[in-house]
Amino acid sequence: MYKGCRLKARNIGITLILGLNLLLFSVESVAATLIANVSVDDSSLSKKSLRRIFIMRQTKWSAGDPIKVFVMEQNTDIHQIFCKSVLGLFPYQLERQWNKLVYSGLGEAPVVVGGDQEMIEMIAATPGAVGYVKDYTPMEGVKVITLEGVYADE
Amino acid sequence: MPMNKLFFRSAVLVASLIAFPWNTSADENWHGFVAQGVIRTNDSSFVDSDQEISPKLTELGINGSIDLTSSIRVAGQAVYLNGGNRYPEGERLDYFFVDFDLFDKASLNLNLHVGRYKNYHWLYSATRDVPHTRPSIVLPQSVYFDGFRDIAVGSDGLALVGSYSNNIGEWEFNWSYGNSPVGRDQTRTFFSDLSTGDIDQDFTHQLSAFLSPNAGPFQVGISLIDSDFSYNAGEGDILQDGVATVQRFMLTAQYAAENWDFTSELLQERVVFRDLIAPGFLRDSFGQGGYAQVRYFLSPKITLLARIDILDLDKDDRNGAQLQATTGVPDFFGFQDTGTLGVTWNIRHNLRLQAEFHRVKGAGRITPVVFQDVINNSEKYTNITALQMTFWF
Repeated sequence: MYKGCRLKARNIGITLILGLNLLLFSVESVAATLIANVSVDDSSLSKKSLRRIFIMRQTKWSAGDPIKVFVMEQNTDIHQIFCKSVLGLFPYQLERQWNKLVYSGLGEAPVVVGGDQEMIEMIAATPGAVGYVKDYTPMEGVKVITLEGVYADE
Repeated sequence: MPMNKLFFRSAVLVASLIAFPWNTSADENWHGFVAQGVIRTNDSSFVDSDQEISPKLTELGINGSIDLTSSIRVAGQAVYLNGGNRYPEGERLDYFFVDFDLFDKASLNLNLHVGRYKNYHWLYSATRDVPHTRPSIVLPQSVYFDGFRDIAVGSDGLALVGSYSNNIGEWEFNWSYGNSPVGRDQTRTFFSDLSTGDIDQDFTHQLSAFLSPNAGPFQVGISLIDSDFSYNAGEGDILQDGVATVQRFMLTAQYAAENWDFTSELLQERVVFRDLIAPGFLRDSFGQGGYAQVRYFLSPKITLLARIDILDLDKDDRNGAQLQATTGVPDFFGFQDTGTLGVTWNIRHNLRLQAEFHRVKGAGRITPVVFQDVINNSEKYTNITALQMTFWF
């Protein structure tokens, strides 16, 4: 199984935000692969950009194409870990932001999918799509995005 | 224009826009919510005057958006509300605007809304009628006075909404200029049945900015309002022609931890009435108040809430003594302080039950506000108990 670009939350900013308990948890467990549709020109993203994309403030890629964001269900471990360790946000903060978008006309919330396989298939089928998985199985139409400033295993 | 006419005209416009074949691949989105509850107020006319358990806690809404081009979209939401005396019962066009995406880059985005825009300037103002986005069934009345809901929720005009990210942190900024239609029901809610004239909001000019330093758990913000109103007296009206000015300055702070969060909004509000009560009448007062709220996330499904909300309508008459001496209205109409305890149970990802209890001291946020209902609000200390179920999609 491909384990390229597994993201480890080892940067100081995240540890300051999340505190000691989460730091221990993060170092032990955090692993998420950021993936995108092959139509996306960008091959890497800063943490700042990724955060703006997932709170739906940045809605276009650098080439101007619309971004379509996919996430896992809020109660899944991978969503919790991705929010806290990669985005530096608690899931309820993201939920609050998305609700504000949807119910005040500002925009749309991400599409929620049910697991790694569905995520990979949706990303492959949707131009401009971005999401994350726990275990990435390569698929045509999907590329891995590296996160600038976060260490990769391979 | 009467609210109902405006609502239906706007709804037809929304439907027309969405039905028009702008683009066969256009992206449409629909969402909504249904909420019904029961509420009881003791010794207060906050909802009803009969002190019984009331079902007047209904909130329904449906919204849609459609992308016309890659940088232009239309968004609208219609709601039906029944809150008893809190605000006029009925349907409303909550927002309906064309959204122009002016700038959308990695660190900066800027959008222009033209039409009926939302009030994005306070923490809960943009979704104050959407139950599952609120911390409580009844929001802190110092900031979110229900009697002023229809005017404060949004306006017809222009709004700029943007965000910016730099080394200091994540910035959010909003500017808006417009006015709100004020219906007869709203006028009566505000002034009492004794008024027969019409209120016009001449303009409302708002500005706000929020900063999350280092994109961390803190958020601080500032918000400003300047708004003028005119009143044209009707036949046999107890009021005279007059004008009013409302200027509000607010500070906001929010902190998010894993198992709890803290929210506070503090305000100073200047209210000036000229004429209105009698020719040559002038009242210029500064109200002060705000709330501090803590939520504790007991489990993924259960959230507990505690909040203190304080408001003095006149900082130079905090105990209402001058109000009573000059008008005969009981002094406790000069302030309203509220302690709230609440619990939220997320039964499913789209189904929520909320319950809460408010202990209220004073009647400064009971409608009507100009000719107060002293008969049905004869007690200084009152209670509000509420239970509400919400489903959303």
